[in-house]
Amino acid sequence: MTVAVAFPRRFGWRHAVFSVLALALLATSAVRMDIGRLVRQVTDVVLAPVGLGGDAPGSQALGEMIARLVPIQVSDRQAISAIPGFDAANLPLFTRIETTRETVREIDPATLEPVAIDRSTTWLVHPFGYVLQVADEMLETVEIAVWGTLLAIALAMPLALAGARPLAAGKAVRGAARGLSALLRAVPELLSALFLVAAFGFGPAAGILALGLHAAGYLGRTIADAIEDADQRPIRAVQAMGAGALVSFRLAIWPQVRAPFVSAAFYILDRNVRAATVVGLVGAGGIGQELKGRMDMFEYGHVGTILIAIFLVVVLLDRIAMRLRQTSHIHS
Amino acid sequence: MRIRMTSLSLVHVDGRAALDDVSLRVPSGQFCVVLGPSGAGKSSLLGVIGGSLAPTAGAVWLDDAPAGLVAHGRARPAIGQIHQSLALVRQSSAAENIMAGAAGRMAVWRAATGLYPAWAKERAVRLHLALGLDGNDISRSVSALSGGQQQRVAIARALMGEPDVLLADEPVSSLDSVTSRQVLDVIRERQRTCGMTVVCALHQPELAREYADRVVVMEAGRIVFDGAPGDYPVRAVRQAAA
Repeated sequence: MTVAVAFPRRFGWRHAVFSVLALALLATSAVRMDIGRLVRQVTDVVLAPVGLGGDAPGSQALGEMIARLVPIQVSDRQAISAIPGFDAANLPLFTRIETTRETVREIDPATLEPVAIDRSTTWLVHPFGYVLQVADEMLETVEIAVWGTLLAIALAMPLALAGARPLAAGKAVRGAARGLSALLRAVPELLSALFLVAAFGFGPAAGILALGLHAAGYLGRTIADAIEDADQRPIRAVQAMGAGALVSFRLAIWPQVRAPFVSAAFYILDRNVRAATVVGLVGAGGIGQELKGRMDMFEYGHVGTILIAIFLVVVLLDRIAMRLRQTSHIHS
Repeated sequence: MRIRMTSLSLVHVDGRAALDDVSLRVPSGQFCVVLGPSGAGKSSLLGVIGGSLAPTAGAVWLDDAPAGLVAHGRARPAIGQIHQSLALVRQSSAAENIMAGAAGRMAVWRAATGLYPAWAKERAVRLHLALGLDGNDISRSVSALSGGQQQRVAIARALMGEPDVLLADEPVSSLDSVTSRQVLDVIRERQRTCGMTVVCALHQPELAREYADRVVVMEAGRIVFDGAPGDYPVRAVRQAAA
């Protein structure tokens, strides 16, 4: 029996042309980016520890850098001579006194000759002082990230409602909202933080603004897309039963976009925690400022403590976000 | 509420005629069943009455007032609709979906915050149980319900607003015969006690004969029979519905 209808073709000449063009572009770019060298170096770094591969200076440098991060810095100490009104009989909780002796070479002012001098310094040691300091700064980083995320949500919701086709008050409004979202998204946090630190001074305010503005662009577009991708039939059904814009949003749109919204908001929070450490490098508050200072002073033990703190907080937040997302799905 | 349609035509973008010069009057309080094979124009007819489709020619009057498109901002809380696709919010609970049917009849702040009035909550629960749904299912997500349960949630939503007109597009297609009768009993009870006008597309001729005051049979977008259920031979009705 002859079949008059042919099975739809999966690929056509357009796919072939597109594939050839895409491959040509990638090949050209690979030459410009020196991808060959990148592959060789990464292969050497990966294979060097097992005795394979050639000379790997990259691997050696990386290994040395990582080795200098340990032992991590846990305690902190203060020279007692720098503590006004220090009372040795009433030491703060968990602290102890330590004395260090070191020989330093100084110029004798009388003879102008270098002489070795034994110097003794008495310290007040806080056994977990540096860990507590990092924890406090990490908390500030998380607070910057949380406020940045809240600011992003507050800015993104009106952008999303104005930028989603079923709700937009016209093409011009939709275009303007989408354009503003793209603009906010296009400016990286680090760049805006540089300007905002100049405008608002050092500290968390610049960090919160930098994170919030960038994330608002991403979140605004994500939610607007989710509204446009939502099943329109229940929305029309609810509107036909007399629901206005607010009620149809609440009853027919929000339940459909809640899960992508929650996912996107937690992604923003997770991303903001990491980004908050980066904007700190330019003075926008948080652990980044501490990290930059310690790296500049080559205090890699301190850097190790900070990196472990960042890692732990990111993992912890990821776990919390996963739990909350599951709860959100259960209740949706 | 009376429904009047005059010379309705509906041609789809691809040139396919869904309705071809259809004129029909449905008096207030009548249970009118529309039968016909797939593609006969039943859903298109309901869509035009409900305001989700704009006719290419002709017009629809509800109690002698011309009815426009819902999309043009003229919502019709007086019309309850059971869509073939159900059009439920799958992520929401059965309770929330049912409550959406009364959204146009309560204060905006109540519908928007979910602090529904007691009368609405009581009515939602009553409808849920009357349609044979399990009490525990009312707080379950619609996506967790079976096809037949979802269909009954859609019916409860349509009846929630106590509409003057019910447009039901194959409301019992996913239900067994016992549950189908239970659901149609609820619709007929409201039709008889409140004078609700029902236009219902069905595929089961025996149910049409049992429940309808009037049967309209469509083929290729035209009405080929219009009369009392008993006047149309069962065999012909079966053929029409096949």
